[in-house]
Order: sequence, then structure tokens, then C-alpha cells
Amino acid sequence: MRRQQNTVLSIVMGFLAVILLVQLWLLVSALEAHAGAEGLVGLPAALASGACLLAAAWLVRSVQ
Amino acid sequence: MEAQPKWREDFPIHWEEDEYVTRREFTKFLGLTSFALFLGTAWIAVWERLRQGRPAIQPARRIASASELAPGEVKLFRYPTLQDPCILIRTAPDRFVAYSQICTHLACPVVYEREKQRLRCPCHEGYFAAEDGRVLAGPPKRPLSRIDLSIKGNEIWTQEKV
Repeated sequence: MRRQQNTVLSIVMGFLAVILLVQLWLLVSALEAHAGAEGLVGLPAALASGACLLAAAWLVRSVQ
Repeated sequence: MEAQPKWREDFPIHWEEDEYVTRREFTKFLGLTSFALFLGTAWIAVWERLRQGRPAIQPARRIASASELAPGEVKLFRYPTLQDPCILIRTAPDRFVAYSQICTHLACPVVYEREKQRLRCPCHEGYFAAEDGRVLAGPPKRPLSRIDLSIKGNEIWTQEKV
């Protein structure tokens, strides 16, 4: 049982790491587009980042 | 076991236990990091919205007189609003160029390097050509935003942009 919990926790942390990388990529892309005055990238990036945050919050809650 | 001073016996601190972070606690930290990244992206979205509210017409404005700058000298100014730093450069006796001072990589201000005729972003070592603002080296992918100029007699003006 304990071993199974360990595996679940490792998988959750792996997913969280991927989510954070996606969010970091969104942030840098939005900042680069903003600095280059290229269209409106901020809003879609913020919405996508918000969706990632919800997923991350759900994952964190599921292991507490 | 080593003899401990009296105060330590009275107030024992178990450093190893105190600094131990469980994986569950670490996942909480990852969750907070996710929130911080979301806040940063949301802030950029709000910033873009504010920028959209600017007037579409950017009126012509006097920046400097030609005699103010010797060749190789620069003057900093703000155009079209006070939040937009720009740089005017006299690259040759008869040539003036102006660019937005904001690096197109991550928005640090660029500085002019007279000897090498280029603009340098000190944050991530990005370089732009002084003659046309194109990227010479470093992480930026886009050229510097150019400000169109017109010279009226001895005065240097920005061109009206619609």
C-alpha cells in the first residue's frame, strides 16, 4: 500500500513539473510578444496558464 | 554522544527534523509556483489591455536640435507616451536614428556602444545594429522598434504615425 502511494506521489510530482514547464513557456512567450508589440498574446496565454493552475491545484489537493 | 551545553539541553532543536521537507509539502510548493506563474502571465494580459487604450494617432514631436548631439552621442526621450523610453543616436554627422529602448527579448533597456556602433542589452547580452536596429547576436529574435524621424532645419522630429 505504501509503495503504491509512493508511486502515485511520484506521478503527481511529474505531472506538476510538466505543468510548471508549460506555464513558464507561456509566461516567457507572452512577455516576448509584449516586448515586441506583437498582437494580443497575453490574454490567451493567461487563460491557458489559469487552466494549468486549476489542474495543478487539483493534483496538489488529490495528494494532501 | 557529544556533551551538549546546558542551554541546548533546555531548548533542544532537532535540525534534521526541522529542515526535513516531505514530498507532500514539496507538491504544495509546486502548486504555489504555478500560482505565481499564472499571476505573471495575467499581469502581462492586463498590461496589454492598458496599452491598447492608447490613442491610435501618434503625433509628431520635437526631440532635439541637431546641434545638441555630436556624432556618436545619444539622447534619451520618451515617445509616444511617458512609459515608452526611446533612444536617439547621431551615428554620423548627417545621420540620426531613433529606436525604442526596450529590448525585444525581455524588455530590458538597451544602451549604445559607440565604438562598436551597436546597441547592447545588458540583461542577456543581446546586440542590435545601430544603423537599422537588426539583431546582431544574442537571444532577441526581432529587431528594435524603429522611430521614424524627420529633420526640419536644425530640429529633429518624430513623424506622425496613424
